[in-house]
Amino acid sequence: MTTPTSMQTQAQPQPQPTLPFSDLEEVYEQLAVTLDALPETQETLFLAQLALALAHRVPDVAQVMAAIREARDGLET
Amino acid sequence: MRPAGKGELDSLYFDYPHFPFVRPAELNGDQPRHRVAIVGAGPVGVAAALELARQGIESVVLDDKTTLNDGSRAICLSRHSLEILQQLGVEKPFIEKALGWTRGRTYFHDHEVYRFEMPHSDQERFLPMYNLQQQYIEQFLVDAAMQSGLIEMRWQQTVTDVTQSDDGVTLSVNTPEGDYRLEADYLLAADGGRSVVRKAFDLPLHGEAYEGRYVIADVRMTSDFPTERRAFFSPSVMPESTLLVHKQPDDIWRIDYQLLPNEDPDLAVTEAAIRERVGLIIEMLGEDSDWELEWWSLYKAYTLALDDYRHGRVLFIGDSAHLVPIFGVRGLNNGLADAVNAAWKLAWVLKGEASEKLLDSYSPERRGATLEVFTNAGKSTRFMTPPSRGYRLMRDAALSLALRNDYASNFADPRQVTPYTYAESPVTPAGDAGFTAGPMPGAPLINRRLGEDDFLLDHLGVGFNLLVFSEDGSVTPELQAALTDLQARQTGLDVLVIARHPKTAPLGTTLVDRQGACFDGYDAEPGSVYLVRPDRHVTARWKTLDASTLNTAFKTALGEH
Repeated sequence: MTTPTSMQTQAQPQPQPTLPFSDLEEVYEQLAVTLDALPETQETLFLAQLALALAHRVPDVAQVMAAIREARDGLET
Repeated sequence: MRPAGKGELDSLYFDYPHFPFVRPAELNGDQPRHRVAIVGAGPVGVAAALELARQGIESVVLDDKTTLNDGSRAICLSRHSLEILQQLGVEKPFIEKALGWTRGRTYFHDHEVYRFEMPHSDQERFLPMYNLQQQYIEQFLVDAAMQSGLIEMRWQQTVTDVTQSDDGVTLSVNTPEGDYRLEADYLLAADGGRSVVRKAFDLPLHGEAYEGRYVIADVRMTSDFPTERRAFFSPSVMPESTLLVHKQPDDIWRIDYQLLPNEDPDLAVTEAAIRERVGLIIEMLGEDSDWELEWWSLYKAYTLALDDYRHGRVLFIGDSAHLVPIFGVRGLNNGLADAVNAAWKLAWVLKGEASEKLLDSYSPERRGATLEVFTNAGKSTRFMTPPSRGYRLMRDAALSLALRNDYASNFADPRQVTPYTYAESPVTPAGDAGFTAGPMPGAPLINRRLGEDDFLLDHLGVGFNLLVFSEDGSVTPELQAALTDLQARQTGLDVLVIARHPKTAPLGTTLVDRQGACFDGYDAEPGSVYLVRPDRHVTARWKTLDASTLNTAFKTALGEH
């Protein structure tokens, strides 16, 4: 089974830079406020658009696929 | 609130003392002029009285009650608070009775998704956090205050009004044997969220009230689960709610749970409702022993503060100045920091060692701490009790990811109280050249181990402290001359020489730092110096001291700038 953890152990010259946590918190707040301003019926469509818009900005498709798996695995809690 | 048939003070584990009314001098025709009056004998007011006494200043503490707090309420004391209590000389009963802890767990849909470990090392005397019921906290402080010759406790005396003039304050006091006026130079208002003093001067609190309401309930139950903070998000027994579980001494367990959005709080706090809900929660925790209901209360989160914590000759300390949410345990811990900050400054003004300008720094420092608390507590509160659909969705998303991804776990961190750094304070000089580690100007000292049961903070004097780092205990002739000169002009300055290999006769007190823990922790070299305030916050530090800037820094620290 491929997990995000085993992805990281594959040949990667250096770890990908990630967003500092304080910025991630800002994203969290901004998303919460944006979601609240939308009708609930448009929530899913908005989040799917956001996923594509963010993926477009990631030059490495393996990273995007790993993020998709991470989010799917999170539903199992 | 307590179960039917029990009185307000009818506790399963705590024997409430009775404090008799003692007729004050004012009712016998005397009109003594007090130096400091303190309204409120809660933990914050009594801690302030103890710090004033440590600095040699008398105070009179007034409280309308006949005993201590009716419930466990504030149960978490931080390491920084224990260091304050150590300075006040009262930490021993706290350490003996309280339950120390370092860890916590977060659950989402009944799965554990995150474990946190608070910063701790063998360089620390105290654990990161201690659980202790507020009655014990108050009892240990009041015991010490009653033994102090400088503190007069006046129980069953209700302050009904306060006025002030250019040279003092006047309190109107109601007692079982009549009313009187009390005159004092200064007033510390430690009379809590519904402060009478604040109302007397018509000073408004500004800020926000949050949506969620919590029940806090104590039960007595035998369980060998360790002392940890447990937080349950969307547990199966209450999927719309968040709950917190804490262990307290005497087999008392605190269970806090969020009321559902449409729940009637009046119905939710009936004994039957509490018993039903608490029973379900205890079953979910996997506890099968019997439990007894001790006490409960209803709680709502606020971030409210006064615009200025000083109003002429009145300083507001603790909940009278600010109301903060319980998440992160900042109410009492920040109240204690307020108390010692206000008390040492007031003492130094009253002793004539500083001008009244020193008091101007109280509000910027402690209100700054409150505003930082609001930022953190606001985030904690929105995480614990999401105020809207968007916040709930984001919270659940973060918790779902947290099980397998560390980057998301940080959202579930309880953001527990940390001491505030007075970097922007008017009594903290600018500039901090050459250091790459250690406490910066405005920050509290860090503890370091010197030996078995022997730590740096054990050795601090009552007033300002100068930490002088030296290889062999000697200092340069220039530094020696500067220190002699400063000590001659300034009483209340202790010199602590920290030496790796002491050889020469000591200049002041010499502390032996064989392992170099102090040198490393303070990023110090032989010749480095830290100037430290009576409340253990750093005023200024020098890689290599130059005498003229030491004098300037000292003046700044006392409000002369």
